[in-house]
Amino acid sequence: MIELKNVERSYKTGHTETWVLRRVGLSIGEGEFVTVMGPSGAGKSSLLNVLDDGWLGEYWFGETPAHKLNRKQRADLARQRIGMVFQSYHLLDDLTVAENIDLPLSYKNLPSKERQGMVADILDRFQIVAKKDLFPSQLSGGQQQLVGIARAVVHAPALLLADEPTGNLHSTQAREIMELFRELNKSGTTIVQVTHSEENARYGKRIVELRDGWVTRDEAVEGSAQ
Amino acid sequence: MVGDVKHQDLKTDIGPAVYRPYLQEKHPTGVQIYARTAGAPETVESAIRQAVHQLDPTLVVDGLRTMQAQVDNSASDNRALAFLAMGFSVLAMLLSAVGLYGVLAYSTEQRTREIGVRLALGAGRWSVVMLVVREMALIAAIATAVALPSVVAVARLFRSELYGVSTFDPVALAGAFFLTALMVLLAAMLPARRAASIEPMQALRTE
Repeated sequence: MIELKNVERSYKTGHTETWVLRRVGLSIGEGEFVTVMGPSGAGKSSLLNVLDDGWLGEYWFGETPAHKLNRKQRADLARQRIGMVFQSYHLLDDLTVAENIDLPLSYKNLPSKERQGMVADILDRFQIVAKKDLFPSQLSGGQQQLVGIARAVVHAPALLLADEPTGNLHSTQAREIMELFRELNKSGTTIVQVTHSEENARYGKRIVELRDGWVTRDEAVEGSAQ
Repeated sequence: MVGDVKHQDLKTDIGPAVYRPYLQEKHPTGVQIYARTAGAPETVESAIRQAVHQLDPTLVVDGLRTMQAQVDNSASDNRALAFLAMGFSVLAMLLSAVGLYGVLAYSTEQRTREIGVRLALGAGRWSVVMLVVREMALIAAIATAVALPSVVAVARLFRSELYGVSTFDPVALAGAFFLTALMVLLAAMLPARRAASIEPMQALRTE
């Protein structure tokens, strides 16, 4: 599904160029649940968001050569095929739960009726129908992340990228979120998560470890919770 | 019967007037003669002087000027005031533009995370530009809704000060509206451009 060949990425600070990804080669198949681990500054989030600007190498998304697309085309690709889950949930405070979930759909050319149906389905699936008119500030951290994940998967993306999805959560809430990821993965969604937690990593099938931008480990998870 | 005539200037209200024969004046000090000309007024100056001289050679003709020059002279103070007001209006407009720019730049700065989220969830750069412009347009619409009726109402208070213009001038109001819209657009341009260039992941990381 995803094929990275010699992907490199750097940031320029003044005259200094800092490399955050070095000659990364990675192949992720459809339906996989991959965990990216490593110390802070190893390049985990940069790898997750590599579709942004400022990288070199080849990035194949299925049959699509993302490295040959321009910025707008890459944004379109991300919009159509990828869902994002953030550590800090990043729900919009002045929108209700239902409106937050509808947000990615509003940027697609979908009829309003269809969008409403999709939002209703996902609210039902995540059992948060009763909370649809609440604002994020009225929800607990776990509930906010639940809404964040609902928003990420509402358009049924082929790939779900999660950047430390349980980083701000209590361990019980974190387990619930990881169980949800497992369910999504079982239903066919490919998941790539970045985490520091060994426990969370066991929910995946494979661990990729980064250090100073280099891939230092890429192996299947022993005793996976799956 | 004599119609109403403005003798002093254009602003003074017309009051009751009595006309008396010049020759009955015991100590005449001067007389003003209005002459309607068939051609351009400037061309008949010497003819007028000649006619007055024939009437009475001791009469001195001075301050001979056309009616237009007289009107212009009478309105010169008002014109100067109008230019001054125009200058202040331009200054006020520039200050408003700078103020609007400041408000919008601050608001865009405050919304960096929101814009980052929207971009990360698939918003196009153009829709982010529209988000910022829409906010500015809302401010401008509210301001216009308050300002336009106020302008019309205030203009009525100055009716006696006006000459040659109506208190309700649709062309002037439309011009002011489009000028304001242009100013709003210019003030919104930079913040909108800045919003569109936000890197979503960078914005979310630096929150």
